[in-house]
Amino acid sequence: MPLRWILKGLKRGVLTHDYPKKGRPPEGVAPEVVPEEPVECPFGASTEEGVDPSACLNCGLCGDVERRSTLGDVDVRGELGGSLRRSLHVFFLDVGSCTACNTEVALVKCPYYDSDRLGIFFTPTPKHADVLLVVGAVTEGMRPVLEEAYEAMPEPKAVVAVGTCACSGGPFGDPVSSVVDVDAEAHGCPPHPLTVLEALMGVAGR
Amino acid sequence: MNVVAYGSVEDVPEVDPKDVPRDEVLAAVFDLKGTHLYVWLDHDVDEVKVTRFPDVPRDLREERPGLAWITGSVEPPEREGRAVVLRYGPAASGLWEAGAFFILTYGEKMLRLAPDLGYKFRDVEGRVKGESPDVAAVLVERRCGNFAVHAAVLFSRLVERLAGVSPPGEVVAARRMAMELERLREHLWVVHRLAEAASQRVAVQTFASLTEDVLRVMGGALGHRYGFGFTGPGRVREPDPDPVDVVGEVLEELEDLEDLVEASKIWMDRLHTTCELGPEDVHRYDIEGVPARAAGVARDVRTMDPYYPGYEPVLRTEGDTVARMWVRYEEAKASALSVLRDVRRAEGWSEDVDGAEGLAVGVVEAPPGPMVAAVVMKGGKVKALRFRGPSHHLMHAFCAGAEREIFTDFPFGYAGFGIYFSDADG
Ligand code: SF4
Ligand code: SF4
Repeated sequence: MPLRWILKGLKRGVLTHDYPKKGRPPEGVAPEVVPEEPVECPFGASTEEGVDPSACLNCGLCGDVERRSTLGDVDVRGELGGSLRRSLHVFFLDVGSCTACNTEVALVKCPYYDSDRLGIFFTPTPKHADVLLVVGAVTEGMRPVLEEAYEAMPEPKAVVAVGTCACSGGPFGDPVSSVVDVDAEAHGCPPHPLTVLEALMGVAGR
Repeated sequence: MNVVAYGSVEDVPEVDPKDVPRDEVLAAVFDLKGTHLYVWLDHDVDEVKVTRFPDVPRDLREERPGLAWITGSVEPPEREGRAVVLRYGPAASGLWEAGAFFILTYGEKMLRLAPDLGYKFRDVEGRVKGESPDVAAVLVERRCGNFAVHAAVLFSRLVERLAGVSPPGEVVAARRMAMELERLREHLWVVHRLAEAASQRVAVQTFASLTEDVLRVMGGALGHRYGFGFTGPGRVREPDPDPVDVVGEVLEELEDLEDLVEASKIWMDRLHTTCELGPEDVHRYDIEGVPARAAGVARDVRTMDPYYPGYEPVLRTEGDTVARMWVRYEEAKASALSVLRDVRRAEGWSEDVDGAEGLAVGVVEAPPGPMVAAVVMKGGKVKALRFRGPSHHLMHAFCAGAEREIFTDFPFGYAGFGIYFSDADG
């Protein structure tokens, strides 16, 4: 039986993209978009300077305006470097998401994106993690859980906020940075799995 | 009919809920404007019915034990003799979400379980108060992003009913296409989670990549991978039909894989007789959705939904995790066919809903079960919203099914329900 599954897998061929290891973003992955210029935004994501990608919900309510892709839209402020450049262990924590961000993070492991090939592995405990990857706006119930997870991690450690809720609080609450320092942000509502990988590679120093 | 409307809450008929026939399913109780709205699903005549009553009678709980699930009044289990209570979550990687379960356990066995809800409470109902229908729709679809299309369609239909506008057939086709893409993606994702729980590595990768294929179709056709913004009250984005061709390939793949899944003995053995819920449980606890259909009870609110004329529910009889998986598998294929039928007809739409006024209550069949909502509109704004996602009731149903199972069955049972804490908490 496993053989039939393996043959089935082989029939589907190699799905994995070269990007973000090398090459360009693949066609047809339909990333989310933010407006190019300032717009009227009921969610406060736009100022005179322009639209803040960390606060945009990609909702489209600002109408028919020029938009740009948020694929790979990451803001990296700190890098772990050293031996962690090659291999990174990530603890995933949801502090109040709508769960779409959770699905996108889970999909980094699927054959199209294959986080293993990039040396990115998920661990079930913060005690073994180099990176705390957080989704969602911080709810009251999850604030102490976030603090405890961060405290439990060994040094050196980094925090990656994934999605508008985690980066800016979005429409639902407080950003992750209101509880712990954030080293990288992956923008989008939700961010594309490739954007999540780019943020992780960014904190790894790659 | 799956939507009803009234001038105001006071116009809803006052009926003692104990007088409602037992075979009508109690889908939600909403605390609204100092009274309680009871939402019933009558599968004999395929209609949603609404009654009101000042309170929730204590003795109604004896007649309808599922009421405690609906009103959130289930007591967590307490230590009994040598059995102790564990809390699994809210940061357990096996749940992949902020949520927890209380588990009364002795040795390997889980004697009683109860969900520990509220970690993801974001107060969507409170936040939409006073907002325009468009802004409210953005928040409603982010209650649970994995059911965003169903939530947006339900909310939109309630507002449109109150505004006296109804979309033409091509727009209904566009919405149905979006809902069935969402169902297809969710069902594939649940099969992937079941394969993951059973450590079936190639099956995990196969169903994860099929899920990603559908997400890309949604991104291309609807403008967003989760369908955010595709529809709202009085509007539907013009869908792009070209990316939808891939759904035909997904359908072929599903047909091709069916024998292989069925013959995967180790995988199927893990699901077999796990987390059983029989037809008597379904009736006793007012259970709807996939777990009801997997136990042979034909409860699917698409049969009362004019968007789904002549809909026939998919049924299995075993009531275990295997049966729930096959209900989803069959529905996934039916969803793919439905998408392929609708795609060339589907059109965008824009209509004014400024005149929406009054109370509307309705239900749609989200991927795991019915999603119920009540909205009060006044002066073009949302005055009140009450929303009940299918995961709330089904969290408790999962707990009932998992009683007396062993710990290692937890991931299979939970994955097979395809439910989310974000949807349960709101
Ligand atoms: S897409 Fe939505 S959140 Fe982003 S700027 Fe436009 S209106 Fe604001
Ligand atoms: S950023 Fe968007 S997709 Fe992610 S949790 Fe928030 S609302 Fe959901």
